[in-house]
Amino acid sequence: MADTDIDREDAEHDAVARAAAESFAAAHPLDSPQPHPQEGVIADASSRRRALAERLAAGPRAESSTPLASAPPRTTRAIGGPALALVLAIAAVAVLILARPRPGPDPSADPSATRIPAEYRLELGGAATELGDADLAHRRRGDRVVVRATPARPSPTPQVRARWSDDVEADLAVAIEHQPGGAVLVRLTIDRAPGRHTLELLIGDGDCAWDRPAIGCEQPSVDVEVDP
Amino acid sequence: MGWATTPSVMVEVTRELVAHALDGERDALAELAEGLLIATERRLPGLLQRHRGRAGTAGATELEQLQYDLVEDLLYRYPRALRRWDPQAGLGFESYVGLLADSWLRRRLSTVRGSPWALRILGGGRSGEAMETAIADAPALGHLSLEDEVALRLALVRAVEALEGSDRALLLAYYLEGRTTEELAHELGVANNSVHQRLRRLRVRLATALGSGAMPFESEATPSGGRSVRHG
Repeated sequence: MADTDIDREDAEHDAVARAAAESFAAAHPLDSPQPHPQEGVIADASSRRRALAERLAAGPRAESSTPLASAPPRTTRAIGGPALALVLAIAAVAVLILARPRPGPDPSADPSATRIPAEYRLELGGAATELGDADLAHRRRGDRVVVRATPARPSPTPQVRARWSDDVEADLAVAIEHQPGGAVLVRLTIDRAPGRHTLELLIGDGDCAWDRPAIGCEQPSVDVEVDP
Repeated sequence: MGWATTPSVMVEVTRELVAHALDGERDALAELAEGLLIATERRLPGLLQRHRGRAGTAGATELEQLQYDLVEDLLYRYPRALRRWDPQAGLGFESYVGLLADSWLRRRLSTVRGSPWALRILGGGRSGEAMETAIADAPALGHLSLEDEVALRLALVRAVEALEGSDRALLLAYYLEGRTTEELAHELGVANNSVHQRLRRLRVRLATALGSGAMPFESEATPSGGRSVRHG
């Protein structure tokens, strides 16, 4: 099985496990039972509840949905067991990650200069899945990289962190620019020695942590080949 | 017609009561509505608090309105979900209603984005941005109908119930309480890697249970997946 398939399977299993834990908590609340009210309060609550129940039994409000007696049968989709894990995973963590380099120097660079650090763009997210994986090859130390990331879950200010896989203790200094629609532009500078390096990103809300799978958090990576 | 045994505030809801109520018998419907109100009264505050990230509580009026909407929807929009309740399947009425309420609340939170009412009930004293985040954070389960979603989650509950007590505790500590593997490893006196392995086995076990025919659904083609990504 390819690594990518294993990763996807892990993410699906994680989504299922999280949904299982949340469902268990909904059915069997872990918090303390409701406070025990005093007798007088019970009577008040009971009569109020009875009145609400009678109102509900009288029928839905006008703006509400179809009356009970004439409610048409709902069309429900039949979903197979094996598909369910994927449906859950897709629903909860559906993310398309795309790495697309735009080779070539920054158009604004002066060709007569010895070498001006170029800016390369890496797209993450979006629907252009047919482009497949692409590495950032033949970059140089000092090159700037712009990552445009679109988080799977909408967040007013999604957070982005970056690090090199061979130096996981240190987050890279990145400049973040939030764009309309939830996308984020992340600018960072390649500071690696010549060789092959893996740039890792962590995108999501404020609760995301490195190497800890969570719904709504994405940890895509892309290889960067730094030339001498 | 005496559907309920009603010492003080208790309503005993049975499958028979549900069937008669949803067939339109007025007395039974009132009894079922009362049973739903009691169950949701107990469950809704905790569920709402969890969905809102444990940030404050809703006011009594808003909570009552939300509860009324929920019970009305269950009676008139999702009667099939109520009909599917089967105590023989392992969950009592209140627990089943807890699942229904949770699924309904997720949908409500994910579809009322921007609604002033939703902002008020969800927002507490938080800023507009935090309120938006709270709403956006309400996870949705895609395009499943509420009935199918609840059936799916019921199977998940059963799978969790089937776990050993220590495994269940580990699962809940990690996914619900937000404990890190390092904390759990320290608490259990084992290596961090051991906790990782246990969690991984649990995930596989739950996913296997979910896909092994435990679901009350018929088969359907697997949706095509997207590109792979590591979820950190």
